[in-house]
Amino acid sequence: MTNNELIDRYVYAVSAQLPGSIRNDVDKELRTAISDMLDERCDGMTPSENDVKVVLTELGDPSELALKYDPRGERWLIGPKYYRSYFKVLTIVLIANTCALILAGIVSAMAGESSGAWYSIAAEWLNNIWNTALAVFAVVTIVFAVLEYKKVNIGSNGDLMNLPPVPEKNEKISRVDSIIGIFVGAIILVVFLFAPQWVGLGVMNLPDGGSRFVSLFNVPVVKDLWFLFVVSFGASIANDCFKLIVARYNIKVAIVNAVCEAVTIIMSAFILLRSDIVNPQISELVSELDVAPEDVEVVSGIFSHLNVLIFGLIAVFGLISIVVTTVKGIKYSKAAK
Amino acid sequence: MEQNELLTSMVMELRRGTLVLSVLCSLDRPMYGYSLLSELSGHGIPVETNTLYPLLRRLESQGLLESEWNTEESKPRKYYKITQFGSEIREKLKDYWRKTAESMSEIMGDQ
Repeated sequence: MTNNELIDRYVYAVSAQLPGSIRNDVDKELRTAISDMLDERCDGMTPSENDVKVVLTELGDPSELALKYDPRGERWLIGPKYYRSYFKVLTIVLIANTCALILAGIVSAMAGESSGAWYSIAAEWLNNIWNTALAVFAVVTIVFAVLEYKKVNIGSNGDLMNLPPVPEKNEKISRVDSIIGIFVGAIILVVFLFAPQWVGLGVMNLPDGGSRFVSLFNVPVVKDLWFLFVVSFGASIANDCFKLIVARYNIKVAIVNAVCEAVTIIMSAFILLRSDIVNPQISELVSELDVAPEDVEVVSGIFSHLNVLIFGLIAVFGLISIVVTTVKGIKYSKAAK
Repeated sequence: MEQNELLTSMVMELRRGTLVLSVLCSLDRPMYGYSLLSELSGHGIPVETNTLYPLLRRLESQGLLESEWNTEESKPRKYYKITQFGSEIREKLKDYWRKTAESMSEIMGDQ
């Protein structure tokens, strides 16, 4: 390679990384600088390739030099300010996700769902775990990259004289509760996605002496509605992740909680208020139970409306959570001022 | 870290702090990067090329220096010169430097 070519490549490696407004200027200045350095080194003689090499080495790595020139300074995908929260959320969500999928593999193997050679089942299982982990990694990373790019404050607002007060005992959101919430959400989601037939009623000592297990839900319908389950539990997991980061009641937590709970309630309505969601075999089970004749109507009424009852519970607990979190959020935000 | 390495990094840290003032003091007349580098090293202040050139550009963007391309010589050169604002800052920096030097002498037991 000729000396000029070596220099061209070096200068290009630097200037290509710079914003257009200063690129040409730096290009010209750098060329003259290299030429001056060579002149001094060779004292009028024609520089050898080795001379060029020494001078370029002195200038150092093109990326580092470009960084020194770059008026935008150091930029991050996820900088030190967000890194700890990012890492915490990523670790917990990835672990919860992987545990849930491992459980899913075991559950579907036990449920006799999988068919084929064990190694192809194992390969598919590992593939699922890997793909989902990648998706989780991507989502968490994108969310934090947006926070970094927009410089969103998730901690203090930078005003040292106005930092949030040390949380009172009841103001803190227990990290353990949030983590348990994430894990429980992930595990229930997995069961609904991979083995909905496992959610059911077991009854022992039937009048005929046997025992029976009947799925609560209509399995094909649940499998058709998988997307609603993902959105519903996804909202609940996102809610717990946010609580884990902020770790105290405030307005932001109240708003995020209200939105997520609302999503969960609405999705549950779409799932549970369908007439075909309850397994028809449930009513057959009732007829086999040893129930006093005068109670039969009540019991079969309860069983045929189990979906509505479950939705009622979800809605009531969701609304309670919205009210309690909002009241605490407002109370402690006022206290902070 | 070895003793030499540790010392080198500390010396670099010390120099880094004095570099801006050295540059501001040398640019009453227009100079291009490499001539400034030679002048500073003539005064016993060695600076690396890859530090000085980006620094000149930064000081210019902060309004302390102004620059002009001279294309009449054999190579196009960018000449830097201190601005009015730069001179004001320089005088204040000089005061700080003198006070710091005094305090340092005291603390080091020279007086």
